Amino acid sequence: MIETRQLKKQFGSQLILDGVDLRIENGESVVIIGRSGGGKSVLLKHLIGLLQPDSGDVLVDGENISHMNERQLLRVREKFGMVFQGAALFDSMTVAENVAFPLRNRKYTTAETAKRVAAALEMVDLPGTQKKKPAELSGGMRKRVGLARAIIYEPQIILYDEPTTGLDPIVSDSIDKLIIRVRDQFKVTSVVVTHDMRSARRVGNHVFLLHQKKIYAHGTPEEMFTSQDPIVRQFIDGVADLKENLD
Amino acid sequence: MNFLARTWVGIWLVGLGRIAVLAREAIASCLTFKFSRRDLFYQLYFIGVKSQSVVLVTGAFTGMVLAAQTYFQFHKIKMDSATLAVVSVSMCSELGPVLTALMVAGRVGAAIAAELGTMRVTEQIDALRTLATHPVDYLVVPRLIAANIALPLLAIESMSIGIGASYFVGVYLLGIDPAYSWYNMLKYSGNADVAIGLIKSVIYGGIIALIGCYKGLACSNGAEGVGRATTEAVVYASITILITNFFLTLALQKVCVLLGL
Repeated sequence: MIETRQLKKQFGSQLILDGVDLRIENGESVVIIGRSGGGKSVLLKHLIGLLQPDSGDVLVDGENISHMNERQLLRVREKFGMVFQGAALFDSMTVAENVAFPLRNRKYTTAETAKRVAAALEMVDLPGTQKKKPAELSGGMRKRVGLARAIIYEPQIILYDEPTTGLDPIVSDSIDKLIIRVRDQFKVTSVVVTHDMRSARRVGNHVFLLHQKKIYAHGTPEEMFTSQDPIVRQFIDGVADLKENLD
Repeated sequence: MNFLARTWVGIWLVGLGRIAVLAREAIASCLTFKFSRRDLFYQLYFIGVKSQSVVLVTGAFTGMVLAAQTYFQFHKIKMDSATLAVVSVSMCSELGPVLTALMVAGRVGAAIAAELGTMRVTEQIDALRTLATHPVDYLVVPRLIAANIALPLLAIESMSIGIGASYFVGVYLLGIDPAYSWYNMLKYSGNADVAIGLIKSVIYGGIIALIGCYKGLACSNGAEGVGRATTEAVVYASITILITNFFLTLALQKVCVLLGL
């Protein structure tokens, strides 16, 4: 279970999060929606300890990680996998080396590692790409490799930072299906940050709306998508001017 | 207090403190052997083997020009045969280690800052952290150890080629007597000079790797930030080497006197 309590974060004079309370149960598939630059990725990075809050707490399985140092966090992060917006593949390595990276400190033979890499790449529909370099891959393929790297050690929680941003609708659809497949096959807790409403509706069973630096509303996708709240509707319908919606 | 923090002195002190913290983390990690041997060998190849050509050319031509200049001055007072002794002492305790370090700072310090800076701005460092890998263990320690090993070896190459080249210029081009040159060289330069040079090289290796890694890891603002980090890594490492060299020379000479070397 992941929980944030009154999470606050400020960069310089700019307040990004102002008391965010969030609770994600084990096995849940949560989607965090909100406007671009609204602090969704910042919130996601707090959940895995990449950023530390100015005040408030982040609890992972009851353990407060907000005051842990980098070495203490390494143990907590073994529970997590993360897929980055730009995939964040190591560009000096091949696809196989990237995917095998999390196994480097585990006692697997070369053959076992190769077998697990092949299985992970098969899972993300990229078989036979082991020898390619990240620069030779398209945006969608890079995200799939990022996902293969995140699932190879079978973490309990997977965080997705804007998984479909910058991809065409067909590739976005395949990424959504992949997220659902990983969720169902590995029974992982998924946390997806997105502003793609189609994706939010499909992959989540609990949706949180981050608005004005706080969690403004949350509920099941059906509750959120049928909500009559003007702020929620504005976001769901993608309307720039709130008055247009009220009219 | 805030005013002090915003001045260049404050910024400089903050940077110094952060490098000290990075050094402490890296040394602690070295002692626990958390780094990969494969990464260490690759860095040894990159920092040591690939820097040889530039170090050899620098060492050779420095030795040659030093021999020529010393000869021109010493010839006036009929001390031609002391030329190689001056070159030898200078190359072993000062020019060999310092010029090697400056050349490696330009080549390797810049490369380290650029590589780590690019990794930083493309979230590859964050990806490392999410994969339960400490950036210091994976990125800093292999570079630090490799630089500490490679620099003294490169400095020995530089000293040897510098003295060899100065002998060639002195004996074959300027006509200095070879027997007296050898005699004076061995008389006035000793193990202490070589030891001073090697100790300096180990320290300079640490300076280059730590400043390069710090500048790369602290990089921000995209491509512009990477460019700035690269430039600053070279400039700060070079200045630090030159300033440190003065104090090391005084301190190590004092130690040699105390030990009777």
